Order: sequence, then structure tokens, then C-alpha cells
Amino acid sequence: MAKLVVSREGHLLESRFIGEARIVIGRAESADLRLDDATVSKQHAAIEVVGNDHILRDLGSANGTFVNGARAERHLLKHGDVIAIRDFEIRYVDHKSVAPGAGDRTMVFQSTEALSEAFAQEALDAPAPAARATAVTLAGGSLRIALGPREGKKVPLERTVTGLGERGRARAALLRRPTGIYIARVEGAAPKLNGAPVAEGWNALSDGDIVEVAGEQYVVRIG
Amino acid sequence: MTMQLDVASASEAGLVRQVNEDAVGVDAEAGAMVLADGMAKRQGAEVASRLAARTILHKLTHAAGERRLEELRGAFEAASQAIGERIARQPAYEGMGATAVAAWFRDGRLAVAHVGDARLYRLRAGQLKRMTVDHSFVQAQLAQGRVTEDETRRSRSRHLVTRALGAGGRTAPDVAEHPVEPGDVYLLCTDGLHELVEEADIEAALAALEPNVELAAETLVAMANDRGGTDNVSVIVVRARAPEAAAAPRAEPGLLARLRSLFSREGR
Repeated sequence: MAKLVVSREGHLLESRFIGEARIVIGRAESADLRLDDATVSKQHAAIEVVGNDHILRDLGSANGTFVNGARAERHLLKHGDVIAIRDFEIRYVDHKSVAPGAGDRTMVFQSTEALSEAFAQEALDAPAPAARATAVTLAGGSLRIALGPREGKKVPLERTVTGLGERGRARAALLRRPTGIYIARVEGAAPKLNGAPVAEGWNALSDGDIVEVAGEQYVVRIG
Repeated sequence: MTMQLDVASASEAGLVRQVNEDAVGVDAEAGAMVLADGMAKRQGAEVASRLAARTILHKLTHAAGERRLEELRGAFEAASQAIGERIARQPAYEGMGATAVAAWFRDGRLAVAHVGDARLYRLRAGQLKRMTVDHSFVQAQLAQGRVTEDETRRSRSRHLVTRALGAGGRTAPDVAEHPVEPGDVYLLCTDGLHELVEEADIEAALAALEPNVELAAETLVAMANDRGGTDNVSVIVVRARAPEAAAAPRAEPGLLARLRSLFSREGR
């Protein structure tokens, strides 16, 4: 369970768990988390509970809400975030979320709220949940066309997979992986790597390798 | 209308989990294929996904194919029942279930059904289109504008599905039918793929790698593993071959079992 640890100038004021209800932070008596200072707006900010997530929103406060030093209108809270409102500091603590394997297991979510999915069904063009943020670095590089009608041109490897050659004839593809850049035959004659046809599947490339696909020669640049 | 299909599948446990709780079923002859991703409160995730995939594939291969959307619904219902009956016999399995997506190609049309966050994509003229809407908490929140697309990347609610076979909640699939065009490429995948690989990368991979469906399937799994491989990952890649391409035999890459079929069985 996530909690908020409130302090002011290094002095702990209070610590409270976030339950299922929205928490309004402000100077007003009615605020769920009261910050008693004239420079704090009556309803300064709120923390909304969305499933397992907590979203901080500034409620149009006069002096702003800051997260980890940057002004925030809306912010999905993660373990360790520090919310600053004037000289109050609110630390967001959620140890469970950073435990190994947390949140990976698929579970059925049952609540009346879940029934609201019904209306989303027509919306094929509506956005879908995006891929999860991952911290992975894929090898980068480019190809320089050394021979052929487009000689001298550079082919950047932007996406993870880049196609080369001619549809229906000789086609190859390049794949960026964390361990390097690889080439494979897609259809037709196998691409040549330093003069020899490549084996089936992905073959590792080295900087300076010469690759030949559909009559064009490329020099591989890695990094 | 005759149309030939090239089908390849790949399924792996990934880099983090020991057990592959996904199940894949393909009957290329019948143009029927299914992916299921198991889940459990205590145990039985892999039991549920295998039961689901086997039951759905069996129902589709034995169906008349005359009222396909209803037959698909029936197949999913049967899978849910099979899981329920198994739980009744073995209480340790209580709470097990599966998400699933099934595609059924016949008479130049594709009938699709899904529950949960297993997805179907179509690549047509180089453009990837998502053909299913996840039954998930985050999808519903997104549709209501309560979270942004970018926030879903860090959301801790991503693994909450609102429908699943078995599992005791809502089980009814969404079903739809679409015309198939020669050259279309279809991708069925579990969340182990779309959770880790951006749609733009899936699009680029399918566009560059088709018509080599084996290479495409193998590569998509590798791309998920390269991004952490935090979940089981399963894909089925299907290509509706253009008539002229069908005439010219191609070299067999032999990386994965190739499954080809006519999906021109006498439908109606």
C-alpha cells in the first residue's frame, strides 16, 4: 500500500496511507491532507486513485505543485517521488511497486468500475495502452551505399528492423539488438556478407563489413 | 475465393519466468488459430491456457462455418466451461483463467474473437492496425480520458484485465468479421509482445520481414526478449498470399514449422 509522508523544513508532520478515495491537499478545513499555511491554496492539489495508480493533479493553485523539482500539472506517481507545495514536502512511498516482479502477473479486475469498459468497444481507433517504458539500449548504426545506382547514400537504422532490397526478388533485413546489428535473408537470393551468402536466420555484423543485397553494396557502420 | 495462407508461430517463456503459461493452437487446414495466456490465483495458469487453446481450436475445426461469429462465441463459451469443470474437479485451480484471441480465415474473410488483452493486428499496405480493443482496466481508463497514453507506459494497473475465460468474471468475447485482401499480414499476440514492443516497431518488423512469416514470428519474440522478456511471449503471423506469389514456389527456410493451407474449404 502506498503512503504519503509529509514534512516541513525537515520536521515530520504526518504519514498516511492512500486508500481508495481521492485525496485533496490544501489549506481548507475540508481538505483530506491539510497544509496549514496562507501561501497554500484552499484546494491546492489532489491525488486520484486509478486502479493501482495514483495520479497527482494541481487544482489550479496560486503557487504551483512541484514533483522532484519540476512544476507539475498532472503526474503519475512512482515510488520515491517528492511532491513540493511551498515549503511542505510530501514523499510518495510504495515499496511494493518496486519489489521484483511487481505488477507483472495478469489478474482479473472486478468492480463496478470495470463495467464501464463496455462503451469503449466501438472505439477501434481509440488509443491503446502503449508499450511499457523499458530501459534497453539497442545497438545503433547505418549503412553507406558503396556500389549501385544510389552510391554514396546513407541508410540510417532508425527502427528496430529495417528492410533492404526489392520486394518479390531479393530481400534482406537488418535487426538492432542490444548485442549488435544482425542481417537475415527475407526472400529470394541470400544477401552476401563480405562476399559469401549468409546462413539462414540472423547473422551478426561487424563495423566495416560489406553487405550485398539485390545488386547494391553497403558498408556497415556500427555505433 | 481461394486464398493461400502462410502461417508461423513462436512462443517462449521469456527471460524472467520459468514456465510458459501461453498456449498456441494452429490448424492451417481449417484456417483456424488461437493464442491463450494463462493466469491463476494459486496454480493452473498453464492448465487454463492449454485447455482454452485446445477447446477453441477443436470447436472451430469441427464447426460448420456457416454462422462463424456465433460459432466463435460458442467456442469461447466452451473453453470457459472446460476451465470451470476442471476447477470443480481440482479446487487448487480455483481462480485460474486465460485471455485469448482466435482468428478464423474462411471464404476470403476473417472472423476474430478475443477476451482480455491478447490482440490481433493487421498489416495492410505497410500500415499496422489494431483490430481488437483490450478488455483491460487501463484501456477503459484511457477511453474515458482518465489516464493518458503516455501514463499507461508506467501504469501499475496494466496487468488488470476485465474479462477472461474461466476466472469467474466476465467471459464473453468480442467478435467481428473482416474481409481479407491478398498481401494482408495478420499478427495474433499475447501481452508479452505488445507490453514491451512499440507498435511502430511491430509495424516496421512485419513490413520488412513478410512474406517470410517464420522469420517474422521468430524476430518478434526476440524483440520482446531484447526489451527485458519479462513475460511469456507468443505470436502467430499469418499472410494471405497474393495469387501470383502463390504460383511461384519459394525456398523453404526451415526455421520453424511451416504451415500452409488452402482456406477455400467449401464454406457456404
